[in-house]
Amino acid sequence: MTTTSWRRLWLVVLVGLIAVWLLLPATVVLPMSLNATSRLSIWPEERSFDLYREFFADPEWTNALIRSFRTAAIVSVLATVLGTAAALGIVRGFRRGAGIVNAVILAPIIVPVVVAAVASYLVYLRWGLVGTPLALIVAHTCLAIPYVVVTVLASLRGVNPRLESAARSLGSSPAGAVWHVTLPLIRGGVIVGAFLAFMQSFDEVVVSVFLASRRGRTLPVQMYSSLIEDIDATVAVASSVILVLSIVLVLLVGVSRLANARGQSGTP
Amino acid sequence: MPWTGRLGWKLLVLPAVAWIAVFFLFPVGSIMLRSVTEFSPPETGGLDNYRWFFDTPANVTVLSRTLWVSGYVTLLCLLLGYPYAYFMTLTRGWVRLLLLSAVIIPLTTSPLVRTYAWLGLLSDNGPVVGVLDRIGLGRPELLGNSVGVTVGMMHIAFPMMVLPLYAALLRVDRRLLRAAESLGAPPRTAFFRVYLPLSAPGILAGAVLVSVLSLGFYLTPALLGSPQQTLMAPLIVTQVRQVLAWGHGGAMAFVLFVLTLALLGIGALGSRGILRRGSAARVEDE
Amino acid sequence: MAAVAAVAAGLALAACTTDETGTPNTDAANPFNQDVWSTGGPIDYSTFDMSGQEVIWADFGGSVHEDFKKAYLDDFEGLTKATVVDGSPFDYAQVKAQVESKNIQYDIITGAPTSIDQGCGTLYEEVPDSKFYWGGIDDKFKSSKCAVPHGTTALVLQYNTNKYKDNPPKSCADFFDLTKYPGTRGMWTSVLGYPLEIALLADGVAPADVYPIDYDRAFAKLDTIRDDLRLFPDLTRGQQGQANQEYDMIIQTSVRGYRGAKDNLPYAPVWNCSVGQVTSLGILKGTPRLDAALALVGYASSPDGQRKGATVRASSPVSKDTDLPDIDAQMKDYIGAFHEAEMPIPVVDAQWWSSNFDDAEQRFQQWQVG
Repeated sequence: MTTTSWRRLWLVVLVGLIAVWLLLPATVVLPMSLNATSRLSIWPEERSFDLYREFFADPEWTNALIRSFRTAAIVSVLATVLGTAAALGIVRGFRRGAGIVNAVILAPIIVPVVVAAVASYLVYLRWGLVGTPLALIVAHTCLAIPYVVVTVLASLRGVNPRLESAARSLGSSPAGAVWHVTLPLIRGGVIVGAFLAFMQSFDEVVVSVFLASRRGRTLPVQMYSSLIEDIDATVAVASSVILVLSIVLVLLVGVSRLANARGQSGTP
Repeated sequence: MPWTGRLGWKLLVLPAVAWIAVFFLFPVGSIMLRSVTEFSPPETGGLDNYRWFFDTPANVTVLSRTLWVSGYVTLLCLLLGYPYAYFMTLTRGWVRLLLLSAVIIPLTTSPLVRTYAWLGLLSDNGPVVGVLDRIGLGRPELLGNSVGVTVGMMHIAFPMMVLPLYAALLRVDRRLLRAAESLGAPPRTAFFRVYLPLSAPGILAGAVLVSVLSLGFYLTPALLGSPQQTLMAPLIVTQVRQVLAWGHGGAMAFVLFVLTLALLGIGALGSRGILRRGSAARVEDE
Repeated sequence: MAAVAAVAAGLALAACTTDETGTPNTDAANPFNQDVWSTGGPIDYSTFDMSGQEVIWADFGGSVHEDFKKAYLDDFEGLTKATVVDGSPFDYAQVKAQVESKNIQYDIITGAPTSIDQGCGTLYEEVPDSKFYWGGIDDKFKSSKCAVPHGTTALVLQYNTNKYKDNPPKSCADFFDLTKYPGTRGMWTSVLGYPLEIALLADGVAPADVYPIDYDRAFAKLDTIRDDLRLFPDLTRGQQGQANQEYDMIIQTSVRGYRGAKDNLPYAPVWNCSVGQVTSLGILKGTPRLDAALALVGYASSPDGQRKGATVRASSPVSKDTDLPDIDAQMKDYIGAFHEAEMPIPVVDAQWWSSNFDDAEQRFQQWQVG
């Protein structure tokens, strides 16, 4: 028993250290945003909420924030639907020879993003897409699909295909078998994929700088133009706002799931 | 009926493939085409752009460095991410929520801001060096070298390893582990011969995402490191955005694309071996 | 449904706002509508009636755009009744893409004359004498007919006053002297930080002999400080480094040096080691709003625009007869016009740069990689 508890202890310490390392920059962002001057320093000498006031009073920032959320939400839905379907298709439809499909699906994250940005810009200009919200949605969805597919695939490979056959032998239609049996089993993967798709779009800078319209700037583009030209700690304010929002969101979702899971034991 | 057969399943990939083909592959393909149609002097035609790239030793150095960095970042993320994801499946309730939040919350902070935060944290006058000094490890230089760059890159890549891995590990039935142990296998063997192979899809997913992500790192190594850590992305950016030599840019993108597919292909073949045999196997890193 | 509504709303909004600029004044008596604006003398833009005209201006965004608004854009709008639309931030790759697909999204971009000169005639319009008073611009700032100078800045050696207060560096050679001045050195990764010129000056090359640049000599000199050299990927990172006092000496722009000085950063300029550079405006080739763009670039480089530009941006004027009002001593420290006598290279050689930029940038990058 002692060896197992030692092993457990080592694991706990390691995981604890990793968690601290993960959270360090995010926590540092909060004091950075309290800077009275607009420079970026971890513990500013003069502190105030001035930058927060400026942030919320400036429609460029608040509109950018809203626009980012809206775009990311749409992209997440699109990418999750397309990506989950593709993952199902790959696993169930191809014994071998999924190679080309895999290459196509992964292409958006393999190709260097700056090349993708210029390439899309060139073509979308000709199609008249540049300057419309569609441009970002379309391009971000391309970039998000691989994340969904990879994640859902991993989840899907752990599902026994015979479960579906069993459902069908009990009279379910093929689509129904997928809907009622497989999808709930890969729910974790789909949710993670949807989340990654959302974040991918929300944080996307390079392509957005090219494709966003003058009036349609997303938050990362706003932050980019703030940071690249001058050190502007308003960027830290934007990050803190998102940080607080995401903590609240995680707490809400987590608490509700905990409440639901209370009745079920041993379910992941 | 055709819809219940393989063809029906195959058609499910069509929407995603069509979307990417039209909105991504077509534009990118046109730029990669420029690698054989657009030339800036002294190059004039044919494969000159590729010759330009491979003839310069510094370019090849950077390419190999990029692949190498991608490899060890993936490996490090795997070595640290696996225990983390595994531990998450062992816990329940608020502990698991806490661990999950620790992974999700960094993702919600823009990578640019995170990198600037590391800049402050790892600087010579920063808190990390301060702590190291106090516990007797001296005042090492953490910026401008591989240490800072690795820390920064891993921080961005780590959630991409843990989340897919965790999602896949959720699907592994731990009762199989107990069954193996009840049949007489010592815990270590049970883990390596039963659990690990079952988690292979998750490992593959995380490794693919992280290795591909690492190939594209640009600002993080530039801000935290020195030019000794230059990777492919800044080279491509210079050609595409400053020099406006899209023939060069297209060629570099094509080389990177083909190489990556090749590496992923090798990795996938290897892991399929793990899946089939289901026995203990060394995890292949991409 | 929400997604569709959002998209529709976005498109509708985009369509609506383009109608707001009103109807242009097509009156024949309007000076703006004449074929010739200048017969060899300065143009008085206050007589122009540009109501209903739109001009899209793109710079690098952020606080730079704020400065430009205060310096020229707001005044121009007030004077001519035109509407200036902000297209920032822009990218040179976007310019090339727009001109190629004949879908112009920006009329005017700002930048180093090198990029504009290289694309003169292909990516950028030539500014004609009939609608621009070239005579009003100091000759040494001119390069190609496509690059309209509207200010100068300089790359200046700046040193940490805390570290070197007793014995400050006085020349480019001191930047490379690690024995007398041990410490870290900061430089931009782009060759537009003029490391080659600085290295040659430090190696004893007379300013008049710097061009054409001897690459081997410059890189040999740079090699001597390689270990202590901290290169930053963009000027903002350099500024942040100054705020953290990461560099004991840095080659930084005068404009950013001034911003740092306002923030009380402990750095001081050494004009004895400086390289001046023009900041220019370029008009994209094929823009449907050519005349409006010509008017705006003309205003920006006129004495009125230059005076405002100097006081707002700490940029040194390019027009011949700009009388600078009282500028405080701190800003004077960073405006090249007040230090012309000390500057070894008041303006870089535009001809050499427009032919050699690509080569120089690639070589410098190769040198960095190792």
